[in-house]
Amino acid sequence: MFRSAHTIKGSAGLFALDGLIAFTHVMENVLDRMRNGELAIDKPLVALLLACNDHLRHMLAHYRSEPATPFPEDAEHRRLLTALEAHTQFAPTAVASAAPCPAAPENSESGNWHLFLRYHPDLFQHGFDPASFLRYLGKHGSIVHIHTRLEMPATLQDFDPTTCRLSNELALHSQASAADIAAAFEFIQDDSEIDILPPASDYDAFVALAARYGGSPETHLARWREAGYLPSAVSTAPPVQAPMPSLEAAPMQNVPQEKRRSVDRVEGSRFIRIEAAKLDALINRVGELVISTASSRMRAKQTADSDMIQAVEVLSQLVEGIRDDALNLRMVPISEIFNRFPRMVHDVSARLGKEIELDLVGADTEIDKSMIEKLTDPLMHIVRNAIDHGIEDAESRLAQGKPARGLLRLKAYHDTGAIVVDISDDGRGMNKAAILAKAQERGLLAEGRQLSDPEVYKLIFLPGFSTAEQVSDISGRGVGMDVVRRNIEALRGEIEILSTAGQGSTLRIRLPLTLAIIDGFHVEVGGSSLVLPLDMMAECMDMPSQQISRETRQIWLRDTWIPYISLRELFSLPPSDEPEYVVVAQFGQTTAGIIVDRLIGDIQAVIKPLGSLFRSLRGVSGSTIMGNGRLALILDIPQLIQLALKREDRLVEQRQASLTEHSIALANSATRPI
Amino acid sequence: MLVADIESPLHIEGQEATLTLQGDLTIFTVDALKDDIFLALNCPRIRVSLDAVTDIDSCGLQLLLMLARQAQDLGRDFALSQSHPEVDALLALYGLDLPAQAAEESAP
Repeated sequence: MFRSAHTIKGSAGLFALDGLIAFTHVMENVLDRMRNGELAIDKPLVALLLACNDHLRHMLAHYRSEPATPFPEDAEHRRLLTALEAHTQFAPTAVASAAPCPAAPENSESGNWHLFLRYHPDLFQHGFDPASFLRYLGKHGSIVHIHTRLEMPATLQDFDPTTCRLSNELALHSQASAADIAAAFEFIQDDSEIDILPPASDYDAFVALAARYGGSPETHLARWREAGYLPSAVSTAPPVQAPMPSLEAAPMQNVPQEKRRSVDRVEGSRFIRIEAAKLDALINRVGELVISTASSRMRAKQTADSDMIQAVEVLSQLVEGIRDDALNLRMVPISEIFNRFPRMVHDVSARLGKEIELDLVGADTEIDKSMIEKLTDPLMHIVRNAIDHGIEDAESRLAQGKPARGLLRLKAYHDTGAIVVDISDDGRGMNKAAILAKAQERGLLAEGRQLSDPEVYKLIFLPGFSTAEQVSDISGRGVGMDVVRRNIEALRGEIEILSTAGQGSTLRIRLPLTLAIIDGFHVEVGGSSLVLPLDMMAECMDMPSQQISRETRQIWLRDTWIPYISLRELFSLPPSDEPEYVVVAQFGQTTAGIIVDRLIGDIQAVIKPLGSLFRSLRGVSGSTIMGNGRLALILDIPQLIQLALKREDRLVEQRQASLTEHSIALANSATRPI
Repeated sequence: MLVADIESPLHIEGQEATLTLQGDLTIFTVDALKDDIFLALNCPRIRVSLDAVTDIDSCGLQLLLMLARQAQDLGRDFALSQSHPEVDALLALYGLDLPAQAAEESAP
């Protein structure tokens, strides 16, 4: 944390955001005292630091939108500063602008640090300025000698003037530790070559460095001798012969340092940042590869050429491997979400006056990057609910023999092709009777229906449901859980609730491993191919000639009317003169029939997003390319079902109205005197 | 900010090239300035005025150094016509004394 504050301060320094520097400086002082154990960590202090964290975010947001104007030091700013200063024993010192120390070559004793800074060519482009490092060094001591070298470009035409061609060699007189001095370069040490020789380094260290510098080592040594860097004992030795024998030995002596540097490099290059779009393009391409492999496999089988079949078989295995690898690239640890919870739980529980311990398990479980964004809100909501409704206050917990501190556990793990996230608390559990009563009161439940426990718990996901007697500002507005369910279902996941009265409850979210490839069902309408997600299909059947109400678009299916929607009608195609089929699709509690021309069969569909032109299309969620190279649209089943349900309501109403009108007319005509 | 877009900083009169740099001399402006700056090398005598420079960073300084170095290599008479506190401070930080030399050269 100290490091983070320091980093913010350092970065702010680079961009000369003075308000930010002054603030983080005070924060850093407090954190430093905490780190040294001079300051006890207590609740008010934690709350203060969290408030500071928020304030920092405000400041950063301000500088992002209006980089030129200084941050207005409002009341909150002053309050935080005063509070922070109360925790520092010293008043905030203005951040020294570190006047540069002019050269003083006569002070060239071996008591100086020697720094050799070869900046990375992209240093400027990365937003760094070597001058800021030099100024920072000035805070740790005085620069007694500095030599700046400029490497001229090969030609003055067509070169990039933003490439850093500078390098520095300097002698620093300082009492600071090696770590302090190295810290000045922590932002650039991965790219740039930073060599720091501590005071009284022996001659061999310089020789080794000169050897690493490239070019002629003697030139470097001569330059350094002239600058007075070299230890006096050896610098009087004959200039050329002396270094020669030690040149070979020198790298050996420096092995540990070299090795450490190379390890640092490896750490730094373990991750590559890739633009998300590139990754998506790769996955798209791999998806097409999978599809075309499938079609070549089919063709190969038709040829009945066993060598060919075998070759294609091997190929498709490899392709499947590539597909798995490619999908794996998108996986990120779920800790990206989990990391937001400690703060939130702290805030919410503090507001409610509850003591809660948060336990995060399996934060390194990997999940598709695109799911991360969509999963955050539902998880936040569930956690908020658990704290608000699930976990009791300390008194009633103690009365029940539970520890005063409530336990909230977030656990992520893989389970048979799915990712499971459990949110468990050890609170009061779900109150079945209350849920049932509420559901009945709200008219969400048919009278006399017997429900199993999980079915009862699932009632809380219905729109307009909330059992909390008191609506707090945290939860209990009854708008939450149905949104949670919809979000999870949009990710093709499902929620399950396990609960034991008095012992706590667990919400279990199961999500598919990837969103990119689905098992689909291929159908045709008007000669065009369409794909339905297989897991939303309940059954297929012939279009019934009876038990169908064409006026209200309803089908009588096993003792109940379900709405249907004709895709021909939806896509404004002429009615078909051939027999049609009904695909019964299910989404959550809702069911609807979808009328299609032909049923083709299962298909592995690689989902491709639609272009922005088609984004507003309703009823279609994406597209895929089939084995024969043709395009198929993927139907958005939830939307189609919603549409069918809405239309059903309207049509039934109209029909009733017209029937009533009709009967009124009949009645009128009957009673009308002749 | 991009002064070079509005008006070329370079004026050539006979044997003398005058570079009048204005506004920021930073990573954001070097790209626009470099061509004009190096055109000055065609003249035997180069004078650079930094009077109107509002901000300079190491990248801007680097461009100035390149010009000075190239001028020196080509045997041009190069000098800053006026000292500028911010530029001087930056030069001092880097331990560079080139402008002072250039000033001496231009003195006679």
